[in-house]
This record gives sequence, structure tokens and C-alpha cells, in this order.
Amino acid sequence: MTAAAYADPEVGKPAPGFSAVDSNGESVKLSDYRGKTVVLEWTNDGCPYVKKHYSSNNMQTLQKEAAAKGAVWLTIISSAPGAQGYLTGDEANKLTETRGAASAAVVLAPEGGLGHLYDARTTPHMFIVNAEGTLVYMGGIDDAATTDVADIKTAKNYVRTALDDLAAGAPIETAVTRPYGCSVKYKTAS
Amino acid sequence: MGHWQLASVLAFFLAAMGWGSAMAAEAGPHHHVEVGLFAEKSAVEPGKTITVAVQERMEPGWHTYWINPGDSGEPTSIEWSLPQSLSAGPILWPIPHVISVGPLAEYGYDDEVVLLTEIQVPEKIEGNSVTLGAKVSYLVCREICIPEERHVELTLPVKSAGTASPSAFAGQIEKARSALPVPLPGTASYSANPPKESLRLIVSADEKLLQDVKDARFFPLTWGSVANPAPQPMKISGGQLTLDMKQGDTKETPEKLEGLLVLTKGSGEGERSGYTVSALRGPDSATAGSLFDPAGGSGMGSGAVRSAAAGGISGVGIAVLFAFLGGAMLNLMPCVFPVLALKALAFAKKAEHGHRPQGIAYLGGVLVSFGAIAAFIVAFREGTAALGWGFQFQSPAFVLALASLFFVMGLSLSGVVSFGAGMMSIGDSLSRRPGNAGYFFTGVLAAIAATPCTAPFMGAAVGYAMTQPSYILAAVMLGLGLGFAAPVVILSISPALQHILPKPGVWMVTLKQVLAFPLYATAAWLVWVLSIQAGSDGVMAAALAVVGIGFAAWLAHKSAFSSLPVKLIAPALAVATLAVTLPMAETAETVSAATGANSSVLAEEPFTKARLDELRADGRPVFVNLTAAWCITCKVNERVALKTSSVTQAFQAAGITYLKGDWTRANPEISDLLRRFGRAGVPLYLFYPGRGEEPRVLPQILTAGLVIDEIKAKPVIASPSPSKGA
Repeated sequence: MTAAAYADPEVGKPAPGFSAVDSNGESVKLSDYRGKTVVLEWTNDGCPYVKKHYSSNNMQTLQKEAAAKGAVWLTIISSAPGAQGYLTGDEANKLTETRGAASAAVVLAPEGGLGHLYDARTTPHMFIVNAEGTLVYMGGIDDAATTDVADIKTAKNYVRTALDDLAAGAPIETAVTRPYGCSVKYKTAS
Repeated sequence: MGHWQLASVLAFFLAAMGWGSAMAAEAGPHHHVEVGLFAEKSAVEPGKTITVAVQERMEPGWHTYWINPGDSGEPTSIEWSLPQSLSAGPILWPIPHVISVGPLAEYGYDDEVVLLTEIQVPEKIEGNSVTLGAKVSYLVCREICIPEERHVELTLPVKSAGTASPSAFAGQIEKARSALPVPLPGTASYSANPPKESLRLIVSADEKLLQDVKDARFFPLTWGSVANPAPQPMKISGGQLTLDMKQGDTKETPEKLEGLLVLTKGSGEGERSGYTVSALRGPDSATAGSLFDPAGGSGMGSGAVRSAAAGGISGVGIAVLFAFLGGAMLNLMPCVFPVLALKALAFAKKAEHGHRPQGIAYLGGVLVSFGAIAAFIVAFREGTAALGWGFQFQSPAFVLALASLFFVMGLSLSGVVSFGAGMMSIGDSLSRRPGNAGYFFTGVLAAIAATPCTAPFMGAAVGYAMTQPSYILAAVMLGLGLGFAAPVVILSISPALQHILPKPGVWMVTLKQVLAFPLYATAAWLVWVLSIQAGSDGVMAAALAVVGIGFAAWLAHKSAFSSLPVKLIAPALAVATLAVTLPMAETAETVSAATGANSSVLAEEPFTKARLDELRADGRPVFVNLTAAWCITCKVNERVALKTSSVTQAFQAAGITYLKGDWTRANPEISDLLRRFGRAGVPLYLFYPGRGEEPRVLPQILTAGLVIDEIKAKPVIASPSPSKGA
């Protein structure tokens, strides 16, 4: 399985549609959210870069801000069973509670298909789809590619800026940035 | 300090107890990397640099990262704690490997890596020893990633210069140093094919370098332009290597694509060597990515089109198109204006006749000249004297001859001399068809006059052509000529356009006399160029030539109705004048390059390779301006950007040494530097940020803001050590 087998997502083009299952066994379809901004966040709770943004409460704050703006936040886990970050539905719900996450749903995608569809490479790796279903942002959460919590204060948070731009009806200034973090722990091709 | 000693003692005991290498030198959590610090010499010497190595030894299966980690990960950073005023340079990154992680590709090191750093020791140093401390932060990954941070120290005695013996690690450091990437001994360019989202890197180098290469890989310096996991199919033929890559997330096509080219030779694992590459962007090309394309396009019939494109026709086509546009724009540049004004005048004069043959003659003159330039470049580019755009202006005799020519043409317009009537004996054919021969000659003159100017589009096309085989270079040059001649040719074959021209009349005599002055001005400018090339002797030669020609012109006028032998005195005198003055200019001693009243504005030093190497070895930032007196584009850039007070202040604030390389006369060191950066001529602006960082190439058209932006910090191949907590 290689990334080249998929048409990579592109900013300015329709975001690839998907239907997946969340931690409560409910179906989650991208098309259901037409008319709303959708944020996709790839996560792996064992990854130090993810820890950086959750231990500092940075990610949770951003999730709450997005919800206040009417955006739908989907946290996606693409770790394969047995790999770091893989969670069952119950475990995922428990994690959401303990870390105080405020995403609309936690999508479980251990088969890797959804991750490859978006060419998600790192945790965190962020995507934003606008109300018309167009992919408007992809890349890192901010510009500080480190595991150091202290860097969050001075970093430029691309997701926040993009959501502000969208809310203001302005074009997104920085639409493609370098995603940084741990690699997504995909199921290995057999 | 106490903590450190305790930790070392503890580590010693643990090691002695057989805990093995997995236990690190620091008591605490398990680490996946052992970090060591050692130096090349057994002591530091005042005023010298000492090479130190941070060694990372990974547990099996774990890896750390290169400066660009690829799809995920983070490079090692080293934060030095150095006493007194010792200063550390950037990490000298060894050649990385591609580490495939599922569908992703990362760039890094497994097993073991030695990260070298040069530390500059000041002239004066207190005490008998110094302790070098390093905080090494890195991300180490196998299936999972763990950030680790280690403190290592090394205490070395101070010994007077030249007395420190090599340490036990000298061999290991030398081995690491010899495996470091070196600048590519050749040129590189790249082209993009946006519809296919592909990039093609084209490397021209010595055949020996490319011989037996079985694998090549380009590691981009930064994220964005190149997709990391995509395969990079390679092709080598005749001293040229092409590597097809896939565009990355940003689809950006920067003016320079920077990175590391790693070539693998030999059997088995093979031997890898790394070359730093700064590939200049050429015109977009349909050829880029054709190796990628698995036979066939989307629609019917497109297969044939694609296979034609794969032959390289379209890529050259676009370069020729760019050349054509650039050539057309050259007409708007100040160099050619006086000559073109003359032509427009001639059109107006003879509007009652057709102009088509004259237009064709003009085109012929232009094409022959551009063809000759291409032939010269092809003939000499393998030799030592690298020729480039405008090369003929490097000869003082040529400059003086051209100045004399413009002067005579000016005299002719002023009515002092008239050609034709007095020259019957010289050639019947010339006098019978003065128009067409004249037009051919004007085409030649316009082409020569155009060379000190560079127009938009031209740089890309000519730069691309220089790295290409001779026939492509010729095609691009002729494309340039076609574009250049196009306005006049179109005017000549279009009766409709000719009607726009005003009716002939007395006004034309006035206009003709007025137009003499741009020609005198051009001659004056050429004499100024000569003053820089050949000093006061050159100016004296020019003055003699002008007086001699002036006298000959007066004599010709005076003897117009005399017998033939008397009439021949004037032209003979003119020829004699040139025969004396041209060699005089050519052999005049070149004066120092310190020219111009403005030199005090920005303290400049003449460029020499030795001086540049010296400054770079000291780790000092350097700005290099390669220019020539005849290069008008250079002069404009200096006026609007480099000599402005804001740039001067920025240079002073950053402690930048400004080196000016004058290519007004041929200079092999400058030609060599131009060639290293894939350029055929001046201007070329380079900024060496210092501390061993790679040079940056600035665009050919400068503004003050652009220069100031460029000399600020940017990501480079060798990063300044600490990036954490910034």
C-alpha cells in the first residue's frame, strides 16, 4: 500500500468524502456536515507531539473555540491494532473524559483507509473542510515542530488562524503547512 | 557539577556490573541512544578551530533525524555551553538514509551517526583547561517516537598553537569529515510539470562523477516542494543525470531547489557520496515526470502527444518561447534604443516603397549575430575561458571599436560625413542596395548593442540553455534573436502599420540631427566602460580614436571633389587611427577595480576566491556582487538596491563583508564562480550567511527590501545549533 495509490487531497478541491464509525459505534459521514466547517485531527495519545498539545490543554482549548464557532471537530485514530495509539471505543471515550477533550466525535479508523484517503502522515496532522465541502487547510497545528510545551506560547497556531479567517469570510492566509510529529502508526501492508 | 560526578560514578558502576551499553551515562530513565562527545585534538589551541563530534549510537531499529526529517520526526539539536568566548558553528550533517515507515518516508540515521561541529577558540584564553558542554536534544523513533535530551561534557587542556596532538578519536572524526557532502562539481537545474505534479532535476557533471552510478536520490533541504515517499527514477546519459520527483504538499516551485544529491556506486550496498545542490528553476516542462508516467494518458490520442513530449521537444519549446519573449522585451531596454530609433527613421523616410526585403535583411543580421554568439559560447564553453552573455564586452578593443562606430554614426546623422556619395569606389553592390545591406548591418549592430542588457524571461531561458546540449543552446539563442527582431520585421511586412508612420518631410532632417545625440551618449558610455577596463591609457586611446576619426571625417568632406588618390586619404587615415588605438586599448594596464565615486557609501572589497574562502573559513557573513561596467542591469541594481542607505545599514548591522567581483574584463575566478551557480553571465548576487552555511542566490533584479529580507536568517542545510525553546 503506497500513498501514490491514492489521489492526494489538495487544498481548494473537494475534500475526499468518507463514512466511518466513531467511538460510540455511530456512523460519521463527512457529507452530513455540509454547511458547517469540519476540522479533522489525527491523533495518537502515546505520541510525544500529541502529548505536548494535550498536556498543555492547547488542543482542548482549540476544540472548544472551534465548537463555539459552530465547527465540527473530528478526532481520528488511525493506529493499527497493537500499534501505539490504538484504542477501542470504550478506551477512546475514557481518554476523551480524562484529558477533557471537546471533539464532536472520535473516529476509529484502524484499517488505515481513511488516513490514506487524506494522506495523513503525522500525529497531529490537521485538515479543515469548509461549509461547501472544500478542503481549505492541511498541515501542522502550528509552526513549532518540537515536543517542548514551552514552544506553544510563541508558536503561530495555523488552525486557529485558519478558523478565524473562515469565520471572517477571508481567504486562508497559510493553507498548506508542514505537518509535524510522529508518523501515523498504520497497519503494515502484508 | 556534583550531580554530574555522581552520575558518572554511578554509570561506571552500572557498566562494570554488566548492564551494558543500553544503560546511558546518566542514571535515570532508559534511553534508546548513547550520546558521546569527543574532539579531534587532545587539547584546544588559542586562535584555532577544533572539530568536535557528538556521536549518537542507536539501539537496533531506532533512528534519529537529518536536518529535514522528512514526513515526520525532528532533527537533533545541540545547544552548546562554551566558556569564555569559544563559539560553535552549525552541525555538519552527514548523508542521511531514506527510512520508510509504511506509506511515509523519513530522512535520518540508524545504528550510529557522528555529528561534527567546528568550535572557534579565541586568541586569548584564560586558565589551563576548558570544558565544552552540549545539551543534545533529539527525537528517536522505531515504531514509536521518544524525545530525549542528554548533557555531555568534555574537558580539554589549553596548549599553545601547533602543539596539540591528535586525540584517540582523530581517525574517526577524519572519517566522518571525509564522508560529509561536498558542493556538486557541476551544475543543476530543475523544471516542473504542474499538470503531472512532477519535478525533474537535471544535473550536468563530469562523466566520471556519473559513471557507474546505480542509484541516485535527492533529499530536499526543506519540507514542501518535493514529496518524500515517491520513487525517484533516474536516467544518465552523456554527462547528464535526470531525476524525476513528485511535487510535495505546497506544489511550490522555488527559484532554487536546494538539497542533497546522494549517488550510490559499486556493488552490494555500494558506496554513497553526497553533493549539495542548489538547482535553479528552468521553464516549466512537459518532459518532467515522463519517466513516472506508466505508459499512456487519460484520453485517446494523448499517448502520441506524450511520447513526443518525452523526447524533450516541448521542454525546449518552452525555453525557446521564453527566449522569444525575452528577445522582444530587449527592444524596450535602453541599450538598443538608439539603434532602433535610427531604423524607425529610415522606415519613415522611404515609406513609399515596400519594406519587406529590408525587414528580412534586418532579421538576417540579428540571427547571424545571435547564431555567432551561440557558436562562440559552444566553442569556448569546454575551454578555460568561460563565455557568457555579453562576453565580447570584456575586450577593450571591442569596446573602443564599438564606441568609434557609434561616434561615426552620430557624425553621419549630424551631417558631418555622408556615406554613399564619396564611397562609390568601395563597392558597387553596396551602393546599389544600400537599404538592404544597411539593414543587415543594423541588425548586427542592434544585437551587439543589446548584449549588455538583460530582459525579463531571458535569464531563465539563457540560464537553462547554458546547461543544455549545443543544439538546444543554439535554438534558444535563435529564439532570442527572432523575438528581438520581431517588432521591426512585423513593421516591415505590415503595410497597415506603415501607414501609421507620419509622412516624410522637413521634420525628418531635424529628427535625424536630434537622434545623433543618443548615439554620442552611447559612445560616451562606452568610453566610460573603457576607463574601467583599461584605465587612463584606454581613455587616451579613445580620445585619439575620436580625434583621428573626426579629422578623417573633415578631410573626407573637404576632399569630396578631389581626385581618387586624394579621396582615399581620409578612409586610410580612419583605418590607421583604429589600427593604432585598438591595440593600445587592448594592452593597456588594467587599473584597480576600486572605481566610482560611490564606493565610499558601501565599504567594498574586490572579490578574490582567496578572500572569500578566508572569510568563509572565519565563519563571517559575506555578500558577493558579481558585476561588470558594461552590464546595465548590474548598474541599475547597484543604484536602486545595493547602494541605498537601508541596505548599507543592514550590511553594517549584520557585519557583512561586501565583495565586489568585476567581470568587466575576463576573470577566471569570477567565471568559475558563475559556472558553479549555473550562470552564464553577470549579474550574480550571492549571500553567504557565515558559520559554514550554504550560500543563497539572489534574483537578478534587486530591490532594497529584497536584499534586506534575504540577509536575514532562513532555514539552511546546516542549522544553527539550538532550535529548541526559541
